[in-house]
Amino acid sequence: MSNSIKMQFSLMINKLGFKVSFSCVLVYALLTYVYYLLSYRGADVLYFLSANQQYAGNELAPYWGIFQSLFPFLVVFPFAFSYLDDKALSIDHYIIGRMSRNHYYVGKLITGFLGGFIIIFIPFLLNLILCNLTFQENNNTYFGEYNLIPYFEILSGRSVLFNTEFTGVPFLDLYLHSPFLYNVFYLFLLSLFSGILSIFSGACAFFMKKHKILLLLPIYLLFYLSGILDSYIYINNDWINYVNYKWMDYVNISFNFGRNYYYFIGFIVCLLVFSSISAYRMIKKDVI
Amino acid sequence: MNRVRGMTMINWRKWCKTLLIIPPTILYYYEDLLFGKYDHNIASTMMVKIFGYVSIGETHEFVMIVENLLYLVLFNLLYGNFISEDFRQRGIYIFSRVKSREKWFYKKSFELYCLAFCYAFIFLLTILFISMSSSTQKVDVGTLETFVIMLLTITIFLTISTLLINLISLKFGNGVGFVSIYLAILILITLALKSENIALIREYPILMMLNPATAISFNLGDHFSYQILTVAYYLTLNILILVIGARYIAKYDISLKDAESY
Repeated sequence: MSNSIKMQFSLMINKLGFKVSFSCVLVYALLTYVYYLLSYRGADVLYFLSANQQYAGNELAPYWGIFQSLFPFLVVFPFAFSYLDDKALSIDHYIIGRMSRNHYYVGKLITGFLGGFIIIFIPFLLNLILCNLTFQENNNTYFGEYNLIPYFEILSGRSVLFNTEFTGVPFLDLYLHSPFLYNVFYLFLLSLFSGILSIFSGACAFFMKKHKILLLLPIYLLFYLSGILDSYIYINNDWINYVNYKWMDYVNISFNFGRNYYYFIGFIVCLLVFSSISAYRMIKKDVI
Repeated sequence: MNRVRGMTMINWRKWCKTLLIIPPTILYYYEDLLFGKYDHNIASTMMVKIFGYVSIGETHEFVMIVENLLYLVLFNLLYGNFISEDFRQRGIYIFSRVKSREKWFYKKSFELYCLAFCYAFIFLLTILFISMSSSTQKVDVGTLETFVIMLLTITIFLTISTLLINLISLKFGNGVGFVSIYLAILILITLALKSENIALIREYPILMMLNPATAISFNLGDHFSYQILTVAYYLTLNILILVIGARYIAKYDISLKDAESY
């Protein structure tokens, strides 16, 4: 198995798709950093936004909207097309002949996961390190100061004085312990999510024979339908029963309420089960 | 259309794909179909369903918004390999038979244009139906005028973006072609939404029209001359891309392709 992953990994990092998606994320991460750098040029240090609030994975980051719109397509690029390329070049039989079907298909999914993970993890980590090296942790946050209404409303979500509809930020204890570790934690979440979506798109490729551009559609449609479901739930429920179905809100530093991580884990498990079944189907498929 | 022994065979599958826009559009605006009717203008409702708007001083301009880009993304993905696939998979077979590659490209572009027209028509008809079912007003001349202008601009915009994807795909593969154009559109939309902060545009709002993400809906319904200007601008862009594309196709070496590195 390790040989299969090694071979496919070296193939992946030389592919244009991987390079393009990695470059897009890197450009976004660096652009966010440069934006803050230029915004605070000549300003007093007290007016700077805190270093960890400038992290590119924050939903209030200046170009997050563009990145979020591009994300469903970027995760497909690293390795999902590889299976269709192998088919088009008729080399899949030779590769399978040198290893087992099991190693080939499982190796494809694992390599896809690594690709999806890497394209997010490295650029965002670079952004986080640069932000912490350049700026200070001056506690100038989006939440405001202790005892101000936004602090209770957004951050903690509870107070003896205010009855707020916000449920507070998830993993509050971690945030209060260290905003930096909180960012690192969310960086892992985003990277893992990206990796799992790459696995899913790789698994979708097993059902296709040509028109590989259509492989960009499943994740986009998944996000689109989740958005419709989210607006339906939002309209037809009170805020106590509302559950956020915008999956990106679960993996970035967002202040939206209604996040229930059990639902998110359920969604991830569904994606993984689908991917496993499609890989199993391909392994057991009679090629003759 | 494929020519087989002097007869013209229509590939219905290609045309049927245009119907795929109906389910997601209805799903997205299901509320309008379920809930009661209100007294609002159908043309304005159609505009709001497709575009967002940005305010520059006292004027409000419609712009494309990311939330409502499904119709564009779907068309780009469905037909993003319309020309490039022929080139990559059947290039030698086709070009050893056709007399002029440029003519072949113009023919394919025209076919793409027809597909875009059909797709935009179905999309707008669905939006019109949804808007009508949520409004107490009836379709008037203004609604039809908006419908026709939107049909023309959306058709040309779909054709331009898909042609560019196909041309980029020849060199870098379908995925890269799509993402580069989608990214360019996202940047244009961001620029359109931030145009209020640009001093030059605040002074001369008509400059906004140069941004294709804004021009598609610039002053629609207000000034007929602007509408004609918008369509003319899009046509010019389209012709430019067609001519450049045809020259590029004519010089492209079919044997030089590296399918493995895409």
